[in-house]
Amino acid sequence: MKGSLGMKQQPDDNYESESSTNSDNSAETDDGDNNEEVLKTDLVLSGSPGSISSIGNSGVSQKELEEENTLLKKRNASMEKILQSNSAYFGKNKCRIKYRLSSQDQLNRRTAVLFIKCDMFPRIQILPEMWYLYSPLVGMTVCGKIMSLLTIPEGYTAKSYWENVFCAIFSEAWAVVRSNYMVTVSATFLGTLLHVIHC
Amino acid sequence: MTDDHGLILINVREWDDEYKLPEYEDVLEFLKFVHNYVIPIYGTKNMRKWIKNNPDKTVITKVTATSIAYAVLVYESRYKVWEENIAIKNKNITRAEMRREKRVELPMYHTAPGTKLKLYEVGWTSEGRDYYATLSNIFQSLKSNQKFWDNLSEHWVRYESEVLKEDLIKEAKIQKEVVLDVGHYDEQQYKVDFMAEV
Repeated sequence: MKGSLGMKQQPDDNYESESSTNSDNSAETDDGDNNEEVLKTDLVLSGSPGSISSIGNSGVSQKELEEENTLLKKRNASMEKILQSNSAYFGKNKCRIKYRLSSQDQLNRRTAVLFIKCDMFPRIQILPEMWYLYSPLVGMTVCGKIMSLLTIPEGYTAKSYWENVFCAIFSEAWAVVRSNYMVTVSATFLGTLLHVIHC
Repeated sequence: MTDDHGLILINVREWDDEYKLPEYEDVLEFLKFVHNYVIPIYGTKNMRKWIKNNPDKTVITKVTATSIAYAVLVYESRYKVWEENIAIKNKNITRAEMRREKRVELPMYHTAPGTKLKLYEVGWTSEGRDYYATLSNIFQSLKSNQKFWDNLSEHWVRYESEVLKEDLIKEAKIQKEVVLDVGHYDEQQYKVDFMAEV
C-alpha cells in the first residue's frame, strides 16, 4: 500500500490535527512520513459508501455519524433475530468438533455430561418425546433441570441459548452416554456367550 | 436366558407370592443380570464410589426400577441382533466382507440401524416406550415390596461372595501391595517441624 495506489485524499480537520501529533511523535524515526501516509490510506481504503469508515471523507458531521450508528444497531438487531429464529444454526456436527465451541460452552458441556452420567441416565433412560422444547420450569422438565445447572453466556437469553446452542450439545452428550452403554452391554453379551461355550 | 417368547427374568417379574420369599437359586439369574447389564447404566466407577461411601448397603438398594426396566428392554430388543453379529464375526472373514454380509435381524423396539431420524428424535418405537413403562411399573411394584427387596439384597451379598470372589481377591491383593509399598518409606522424611518454621 503505502500510497502507491495513488488514493491520497484530503483528510478532514479532526484527522489533520491527530496526524500532526502523530508526525510530531514519529519525527525521531526515519520513515515517519511514510507511517503517516499508511495511516491515511488505510482509513480511506477501508471506507465504503454508507459505512462508518467515511471518517476519512471530508465534511462528515456528528449527525451523519449518529445516523450510521443507529443503522448499524438496527443491522445487529436483525442479525440477532436471524440467529434466534434459525434452529439448525448449531447442529450436531458442529458440537462434535469441540474447538468450535466457546470456552463457556465447553464448560457447560462438561457439566451436562457429568450430570447425565451420574444423575440423569440412571433415573430416566428414555427421554420424553418433546424433550427438546424449551420450558422454564426448573426440575420439572429436561430443559429446566439442565438449564438450572448452566451459566448462560453474555448476549443470550435462557431460551435462545437452549434453542440455538445447548439443545444440540445436550442431545450429542446424551447419545454418547447411551451408545457407550449399548457397546458395554453388547460386549458383555459376547463375553457371556463365550463363557458358556468354553464351559 | 430368554424363554420361547424372547422374554427374560420371568421368574422374578411374575413373583406373585406375597408370603413366600424366593430362594437364592430362584433369583440367581436376576442377580447375574443386574451385575452384567444394570450396573453399567450407573458406570462401574460411579458404582464403586457409591459402595465405598455406603459400605452397609448393597447394589440392590441403589438400583432403580427404571434402570432394570431399561436393561431388560435393551436386552430383549437387541439380543437377536447381537447373536447375528457374533455369528458373522465367527465366520473369519475380512471387515469389508463383514459389511457386505446380509443382516436379517432388526431391533425389536427400536428403529432399524441406518434409518434417518428427525432432529432430536430418540429412535425408540411407541411399542418400546409402552413396554418400558409397563416394565418399570412391574419392577417398581416389586421394589415397593420391602420384604422381597430386602431378601434380594441378602441374596446379593451371597452372590458377591460366591461369584465375585475372584474379583474381590484380586482387589485385596492390589490393596495389600499398595500398603507394602507405602511401608518402605521412612516416615521421618515426611515429618514437618512446625516449630522450626516459627
